[in-house]
Amino acid sequence: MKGIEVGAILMGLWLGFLMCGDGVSAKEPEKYVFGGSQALSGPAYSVVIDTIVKGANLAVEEINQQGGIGGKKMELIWEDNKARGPEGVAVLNKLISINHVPVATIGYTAPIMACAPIGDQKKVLLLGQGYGPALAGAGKYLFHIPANELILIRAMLDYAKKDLNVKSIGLIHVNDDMGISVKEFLTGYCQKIGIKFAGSEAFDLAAADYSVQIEKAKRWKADAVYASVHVHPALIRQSTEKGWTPLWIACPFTTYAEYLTQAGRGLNGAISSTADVSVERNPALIRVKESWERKYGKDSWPKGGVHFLGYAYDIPYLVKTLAEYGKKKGWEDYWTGEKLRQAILEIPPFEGCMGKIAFDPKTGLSYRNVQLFRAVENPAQKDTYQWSPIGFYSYDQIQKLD
Amino acid sequence: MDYLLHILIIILINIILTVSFNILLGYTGIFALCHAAFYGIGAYTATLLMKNFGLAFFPALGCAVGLTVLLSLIVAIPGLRIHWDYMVIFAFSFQMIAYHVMTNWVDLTRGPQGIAGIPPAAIFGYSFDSKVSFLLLCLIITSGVVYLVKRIESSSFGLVLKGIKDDEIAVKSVGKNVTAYKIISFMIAAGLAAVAGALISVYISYIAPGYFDLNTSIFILICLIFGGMGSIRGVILGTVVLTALPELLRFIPNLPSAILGGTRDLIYAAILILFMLFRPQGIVGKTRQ
Amino acid sequence: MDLLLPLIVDGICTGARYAILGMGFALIFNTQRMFDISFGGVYTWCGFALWILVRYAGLNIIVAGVVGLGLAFSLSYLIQKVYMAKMRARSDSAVSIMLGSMAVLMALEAIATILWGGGIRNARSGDVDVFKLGSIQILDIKFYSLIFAVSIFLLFRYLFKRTPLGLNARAIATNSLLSRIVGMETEKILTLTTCLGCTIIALDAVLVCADTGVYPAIGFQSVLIAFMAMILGGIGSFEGAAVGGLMIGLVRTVAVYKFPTLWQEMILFAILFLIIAFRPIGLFGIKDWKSEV
Repeated sequence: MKGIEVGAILMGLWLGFLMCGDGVSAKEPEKYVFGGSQALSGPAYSVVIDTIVKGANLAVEEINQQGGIGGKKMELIWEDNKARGPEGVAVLNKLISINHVPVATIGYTAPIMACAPIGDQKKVLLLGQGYGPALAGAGKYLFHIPANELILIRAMLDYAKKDLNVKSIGLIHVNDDMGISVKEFLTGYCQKIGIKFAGSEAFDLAAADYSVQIEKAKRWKADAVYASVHVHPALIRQSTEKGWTPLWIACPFTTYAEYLTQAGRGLNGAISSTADVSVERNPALIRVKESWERKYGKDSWPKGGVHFLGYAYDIPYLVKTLAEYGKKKGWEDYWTGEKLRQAILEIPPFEGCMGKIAFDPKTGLSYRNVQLFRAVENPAQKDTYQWSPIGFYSYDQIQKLD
Repeated sequence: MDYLLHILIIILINIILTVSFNILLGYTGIFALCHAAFYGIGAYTATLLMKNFGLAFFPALGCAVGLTVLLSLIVAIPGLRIHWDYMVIFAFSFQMIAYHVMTNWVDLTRGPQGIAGIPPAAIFGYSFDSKVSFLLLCLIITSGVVYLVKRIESSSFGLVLKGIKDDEIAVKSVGKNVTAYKIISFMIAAGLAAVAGALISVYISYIAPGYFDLNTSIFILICLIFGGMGSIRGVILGTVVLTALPELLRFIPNLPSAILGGTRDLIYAAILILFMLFRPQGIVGKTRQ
Repeated sequence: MDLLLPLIVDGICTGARYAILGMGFALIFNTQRMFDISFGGVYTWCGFALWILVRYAGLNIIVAGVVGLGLAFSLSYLIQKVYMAKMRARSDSAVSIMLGSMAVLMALEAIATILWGGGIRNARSGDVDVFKLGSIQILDIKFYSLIFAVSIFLLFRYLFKRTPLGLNARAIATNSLLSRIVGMETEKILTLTTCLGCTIIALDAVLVCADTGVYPAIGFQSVLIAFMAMILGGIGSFEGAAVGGLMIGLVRTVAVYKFPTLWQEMILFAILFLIIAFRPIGLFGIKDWKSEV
């Protein structure tokens, strides 16, 4: 078919034309463009991702309204990585080659892991949005924005052991990279702090029926069960339906609003933790909320899971801080990955909307303040539940928890 | 340039996959929907040999091909007695078994965490660690594969394979050992898929089970049908178009992120729907006589 | 032993759901003799329809279920008339038809993602009824799955053996060319049985939405299970598909009694693999079944 072959060649030419030139201009840029790579489709996509994208976009808009960086505007370009490695690589390559970004933020483990070597090779600063313990130290140019699950687990287990007298703990997790690395970490850590590890059960990310896992987990008779789950409130609900209501210690994804409703009364009394979102300690969050509601409408502020928003919101401000630091230091090529990375290692703890963030140079992990919650029945509305704050760990306290 | 180079490299690796799958489905008519499993077995074998035993790229590739060919017999031999309709599920079961082994045998494969830090391909001290050099390597290897398959197609061996697809009984009656031909076509296809597996491992330097799942097998199938089964030119064309298409769709401006992913999938599906309706034989295929 | 019994009960209930899927697909495949998997898209949409009808239109769940099934029938009819019929007319290549129907499935799932996002949607929340059988607890939905599966099984056996529609469908399944020569309106009957098959499959979507919830990609999952159930049971056998589905549910659930849960899927596929390897026509398959590439 001559026509189609000609078409394919033309398509190739067009693609090539689009890609003229490469490399990041080290001089003063006209616009501060950086990249965002997230799972915008596929089974990994959820409402949480939406919040993340909107949060970052809001921050970029605010920064531009306040004059940008040195009068020049900032731009964040989002691409879909479908939570897969090869897609993540394609996306990062596109952002580097076509949009010339010196810094990019990436969501989900597979893309982050696949892109880490690219960050090192092409000297592009990567700000990961992942939580899994396996991500720590995956690349020299890779730094992690959220409080890693390693850190949250330490805080929660400390509380569980001291305040709730938990002596044995089981684990139910999603059979993905995060779940498995949590399992590996937890088995070792429990031994370290003297809690018995009762066993673990796993299920597929796309699974909707957990009866088998629940049947087996019931028989552990553990004091508490850690749930490393993403969006599986049905797991809690099914457990309750089968008459099993252990003390749940749940990962931060469960603090999302819909979760409590869908999980039902089984989650009553559960413990979770996230980065510190208390407005008393972080008055900045009030300002962020007002700004959010101005842009996205009243009642659009997420009811729970605010920390996801906070992480994303911090990223453009962090990028701005790094650029301004380099500029002040008089670095001519301050808007390159290499210098931005140097900046992130040199700046004092970054004042984010949820408190100070310190980056560990060896692992790239961020140390932040962490808040603990307990799910309690809503006094105003019977049979509905809400997360009530019960504890606070500052980031130096957590570092001591080893 | 890196973006373009990346796409070209992926296209070349995909061509190895689709051209080898063509041997099974296009020529011999065996609907073995487990090609990604061979791809994955090749990838993990090569990776583990390189990382854990320090093997160089080409020896690792050789071993990967050998092991994959051996394992393909698990599907090939029972597959002889299985009718076309059942072959789909039979091979599909093998695909899922392979995928689950990759995901759950954590001690060997690190499971969903994947294996990172795979060293770049190297030969006699020269390391293919830049995109341009790796592209050239892929070009050489892929051309070799395509040449090999073209020779098979035009040889008497290839003729027999096509004969098996059209009328197996006739071929048997002429005295040809249909069994041997089917097994050999399986082995060749699986071995070539393993080559692709070794290449992708050293390119992305990180592999995870998710690269080698059912969706990948289906993608290979779609490339074949889209391009026109049985014709190498068609298969290559189909592969190029369908690999590049999602990248092109990235350039549609101003899509709100919430519907970005779904919209691209929809456009992709719509193209397939129309294509299947108006040109079911593929870009280059001939209409059935 | 105390773990085994609840697992067996659970396995039977899950198997009942899979039997429903298998029977629906058997209905579609036995008459069409082509792998038309567009029912996956209908599955997703029916599940979401239930969610919307219950959550937003405030309908009672049973009423919503019936409406949902009606919608499923209409949607599958639309797909058949607008697309699949034309596909069948233009090409008798099984691969093309499979791919075309897969593309329809993909399109419907993509539209669902655009409209409603990728999250899990549930038609019910709050407490549910639980039936007790000695020490075993069965969720109401699972119990109903069992009842539905058995009813559909008996209903369609009767349909096939006694009603004109059933006899016609079987005739077409056995010999399509002859049926056409004899003057049967094969296309009409084909469309009808396909839509019926899709509606049966959509029933499972209703059950799942009311139980664990649906998400856009769930349609494809249903295709995989329906496929496996039908092939395991043997092509050409409606009853076989039901038994196949039941077996899949049982094996998957009971396998974890001895093996770690993680391996339950693999064990299922391994058993499927072995059964087909040693009995290539499935459990109750009909010999000499022909199909073209």
